Amino acid sequence: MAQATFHAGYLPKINLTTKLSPRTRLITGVESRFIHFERPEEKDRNIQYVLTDFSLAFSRKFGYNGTLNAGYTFRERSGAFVHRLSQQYNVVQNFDAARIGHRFAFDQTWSGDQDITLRLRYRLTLEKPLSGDKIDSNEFYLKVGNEYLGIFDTGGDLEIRLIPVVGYELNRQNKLEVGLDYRLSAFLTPAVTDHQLWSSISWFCAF
Amino acid sequence: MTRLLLRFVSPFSLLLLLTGTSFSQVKFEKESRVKALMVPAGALRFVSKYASGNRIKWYVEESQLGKTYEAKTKLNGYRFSIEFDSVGQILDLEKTVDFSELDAKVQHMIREELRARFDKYKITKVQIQYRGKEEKVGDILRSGFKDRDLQIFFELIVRAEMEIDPSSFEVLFNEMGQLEAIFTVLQRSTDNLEF
Repeated sequence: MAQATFHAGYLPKINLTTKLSPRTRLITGVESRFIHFERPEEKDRNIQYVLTDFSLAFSRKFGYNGTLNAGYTFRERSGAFVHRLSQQYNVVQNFDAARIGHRFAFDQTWSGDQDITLRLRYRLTLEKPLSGDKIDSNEFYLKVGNEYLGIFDTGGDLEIRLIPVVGYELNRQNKLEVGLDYRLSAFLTPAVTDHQLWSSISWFCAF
Repeated sequence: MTRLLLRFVSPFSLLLLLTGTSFSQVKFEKESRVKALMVPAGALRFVSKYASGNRIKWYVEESQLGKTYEAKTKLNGYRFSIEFDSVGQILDLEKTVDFSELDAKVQHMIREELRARFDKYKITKVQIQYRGKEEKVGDILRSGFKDRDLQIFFELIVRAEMEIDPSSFEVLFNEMGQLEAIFTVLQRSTDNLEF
């Protein structure tokens, strides 16, 4: 029986949002991946750089709480370049003491001569203040995300992600989030199932 | 914040009428949980007299108009919020209700005003505000009895989809359903939920 693989490491990320008009924004992002541990090699390795994603997205607000985002990501991985286009629709629900975000996304990834990979994604995120009923400056909050990615390439499979983080709102423009990003990929193919556990640190800055 | 602002509301409304201009300030309010031992004695005394036996959550609120203490509780299926100044004197009592619970004439007046100001709107929260002497406010909690000396206001949170920018507003009406004040509620960015 094939053994599931396991990877662990770090995901540092910066996300910059620039307001272009009351309804439109430009979002740029950089996210890297560093691996620290792998199985079945069973070795604790030195932290090794894996890849960096450079993203650019345009966002437009529709109605009170819906946004449509279209973006492009350029990935550098071991000297190879990967391209991704993505389209997202987001809805954020505001409650008295929490916010819930729904993200529906479709992305197309290709590299060199390889076939294009299509993914359909849904992510549910809950954000809750840890002090009081709303998140103010200099306060902590909890954010938990759960995402399902349907992957359509030669075989097709499902990836499931669980992302619990603790966030700190420095001010209205800046948030820092630290947590975990657990990914279970090839869910429908136990022979090649891969578990990934990433420690994430993200800075969200809005101008 | 709007509770302290009520002292200035009537002259403010007159100014609105005279100038004919619509004016919306930005609401700034920072709220944090606080332990009961940090709360002024007068506030604790009021709660113990009129809401004893209820689970109380205490908050300290800072705004442009200063620091206040707020006790939040649930009673008879309604959520109440009791606000006190920094020395523990009662400022007001707020009761969260459905819009349909307001008097029909008041509902009509409010809807007319909102329709005139916003392209599209949705009322997401309604609170009845009671202001007056401590014992008269306390009677609302204890027995629901509304003394006629109590000042009554209606505070609404309204989500409005305006041509330029969809936003949330805190809108204050008097007992007759006439507009007293509008505050823009700053929205937190959603980038950490979208990306």
